[in-house]
Amino acid sequence: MTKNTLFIYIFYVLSVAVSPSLLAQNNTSSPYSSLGIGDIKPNGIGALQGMGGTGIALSPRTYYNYTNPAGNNALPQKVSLTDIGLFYKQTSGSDTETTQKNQDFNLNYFSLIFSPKPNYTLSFGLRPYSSIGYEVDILSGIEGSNEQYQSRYSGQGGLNMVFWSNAIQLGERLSLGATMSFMWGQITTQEELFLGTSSSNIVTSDYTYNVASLKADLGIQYAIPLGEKNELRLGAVVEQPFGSRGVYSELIFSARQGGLALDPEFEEIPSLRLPLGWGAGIGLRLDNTWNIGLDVSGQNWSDAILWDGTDELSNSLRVSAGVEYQRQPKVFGKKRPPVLRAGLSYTDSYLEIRQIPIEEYGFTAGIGIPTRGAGSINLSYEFQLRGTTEKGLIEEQSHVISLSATLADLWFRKRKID
Amino acid sequence: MKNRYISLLCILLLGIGGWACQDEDTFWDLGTDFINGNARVILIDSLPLTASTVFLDSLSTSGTGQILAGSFTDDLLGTVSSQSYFQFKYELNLDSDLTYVIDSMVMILQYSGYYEGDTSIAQKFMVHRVLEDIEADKDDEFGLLYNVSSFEYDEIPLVEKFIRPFPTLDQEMRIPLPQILAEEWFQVLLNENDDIESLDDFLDIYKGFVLRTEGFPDGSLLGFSAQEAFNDPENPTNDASSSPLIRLYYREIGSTSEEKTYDFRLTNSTLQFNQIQVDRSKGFLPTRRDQEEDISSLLTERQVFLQAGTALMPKIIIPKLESILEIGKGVVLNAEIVIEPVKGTYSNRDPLPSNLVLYRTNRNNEVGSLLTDNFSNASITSSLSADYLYQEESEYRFPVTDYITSILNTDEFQDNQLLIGLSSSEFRSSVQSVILGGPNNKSHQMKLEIYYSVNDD
Repeated sequence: MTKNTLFIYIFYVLSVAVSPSLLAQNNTSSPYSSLGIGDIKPNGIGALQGMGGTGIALSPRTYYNYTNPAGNNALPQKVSLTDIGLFYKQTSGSDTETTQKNQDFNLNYFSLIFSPKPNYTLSFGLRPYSSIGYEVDILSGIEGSNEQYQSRYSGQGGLNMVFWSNAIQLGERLSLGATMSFMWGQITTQEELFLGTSSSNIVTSDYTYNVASLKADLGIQYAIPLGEKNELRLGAVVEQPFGSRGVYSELIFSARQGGLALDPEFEEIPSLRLPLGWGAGIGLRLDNTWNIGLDVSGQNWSDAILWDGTDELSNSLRVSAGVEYQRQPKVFGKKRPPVLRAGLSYTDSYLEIRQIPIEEYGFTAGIGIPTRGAGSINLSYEFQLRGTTEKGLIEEQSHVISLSATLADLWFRKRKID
Repeated sequence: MKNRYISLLCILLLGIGGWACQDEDTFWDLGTDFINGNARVILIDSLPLTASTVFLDSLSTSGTGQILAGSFTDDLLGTVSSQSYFQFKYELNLDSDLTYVIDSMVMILQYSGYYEGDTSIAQKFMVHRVLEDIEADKDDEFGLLYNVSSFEYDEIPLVEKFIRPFPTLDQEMRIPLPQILAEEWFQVLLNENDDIESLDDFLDIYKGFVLRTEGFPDGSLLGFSAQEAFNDPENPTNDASSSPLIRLYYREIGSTSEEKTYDFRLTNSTLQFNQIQVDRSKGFLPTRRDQEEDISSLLTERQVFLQAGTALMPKIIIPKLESILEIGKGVVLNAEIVIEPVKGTYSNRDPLPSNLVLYRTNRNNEVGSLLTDNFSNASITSSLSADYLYQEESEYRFPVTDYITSILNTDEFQDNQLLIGLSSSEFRSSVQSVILGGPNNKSHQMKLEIYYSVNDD
């Protein structure tokens, strides 16, 4: 057992212990996730988080690029890689009156990458698409009376996807990539009504949406060499979900009746449609030392139709920029030094509440430690600022620590020396 | 080196993870402005009700442990009189070789503390000998005696005595019995009466007594305990103190003269019953009506009447309960019938009964089962908040959530008929009353409050 293998085992034990159902239950704590499809997880996960999630026009050598399927042809060939990510997020949400703190910790994604042939990279894995998690207590007036009742609204779940991705290199300059994903998930929202203090006067309504969809992603990158050590790269991606289906169920329980209070309802969600997404980026490699990227991406949420009939969604836009620096070793063959990363991002999310767009800003910094052979361990920190306290909304400040590991040698290489 | 860093990181993250998993139980009020649910809660308190008063044909009053004797008058409910039937027994014979001198014999009744009416008036209490066997009708499957049962008794009383009762101050009421009866019974104890060789023979001759009052309709009606003392060899002192007694005082003449008593105790307590008569010419209710008949609250000044002993029961129907379903499908969070007692019909000295209960009934006004709570399986009782000072805020609240829910779930809207009563034992052993506002009573409106949660889709 190599040290890397041991590390992966520890990683698993850790992940399984903390998040028993792995990705199946995404962990999010934000009232904003009650809207739409929940918090959309950006594509720029893994090491790219250190660069603000920028990567559409980057072609990294030591870690996987989730932002563009065409951006994975520079990975070491004839080596299989395992890529896994964890994150920890601490959020402090405030409105004009209160501040509330939440913490989430989760396994973020998991994938396997290998190159069966030169200029061809194949990968498959599991990662989140969106995630819902909130709990809100509300005092509301009883109609026809001056009294109030308390209700607790909560929601959890989200969409995950398994993906199968291919990247091919056509000639020196052109890379193409295609990903097929199956997305599925369960979103459960619950309303509990409490009347007075009696534990028997509680009615619980469980609304469950089970959703599945296919998604096709296409990506392209084109490299333009600028001298020996520099390179300009252009990238573009498009993603299109299709065949979306969903089933809805409604169960209403009464504590007093000790079970279902009304006949349960099950019905198909008639016209579910997830949005088209697009992205474009420019990447610049300077002196084989600096990587600089700029991405613009978006999703056409105004065309989307969600399970709960939400149609007040606006198109989302994300702009990010990132930089990566790795000092070249002076002597060939010597250990590669760590990679330093930094990035900025701005997201105009698909939510618009009371004419106020919910915007998000991110500032990131990260470090990558190349591992022996191929791959790297990457750690990043991000400060996120989302929303506003205007018009009864919430401003959320989050600290996110992400850890990802892209490790070689795990599954497919035959052991030559033992 | 690097792997050491990684291990450290893992430990760090594991620690953070464990910390993050702790659930904080707080009131989460962020997002209250933009998270909307599907459910809303509505208070429905304007459903129409109909109320009436029902006269039960009869009410079992035997074996209740309470002797009721006396009469009193209520302005609205009329004059109620009760006379009580009961029997005594002897247990041991005396040693006939000794010499005795009979002193006197007294009936001793223990006050139960319950009374109605004006106790400041001295009433003429009379004890009569019963001439018929006290027994249940052979057709009565439970062997019960009723408020309308009666047995022939000697019209000439054994004893008459004016007594001003102090039911809450005194322990007991004493009525001296005639010397002739004392002598007869002493003979029995000495086994000198050839006709009486056993207790059965004794009860055949001394069938029982009636305790009654006469001529004081505005007096009081008093409760005395009627507990049968059972001989318990394990615990000989167990206890005859609450039993009505006939105590014989005598002296045993030997070398010295010794004062002694002998107690004849209550027997066949299941045959002890109260015959309750009522004269409603003073109030505005009829004296009698068939049980099947509903006397609408509209005919009785928008009031309904409950009186134990004489068996008046208010009846409630919710005629349009199904209209709730028109609001939308939903769940009954809480439902209460709220009923107010009528101002001026109660006071600190004439308090409201504290617990009312509900019985299911039907068109024929047969008394069915008690309404129970699904949670505890116990019968539901009203809560009373009593405002004796201003008499404006007093109300009874009956928790009827489960009842309303079951009607809505089963669509059996025709069967929602209820009678208001007291618990069975109180209803049979007292003549407590309460006058309640009906559905359209301006100052004491009877209503049904339903908190209904509706799920809008």
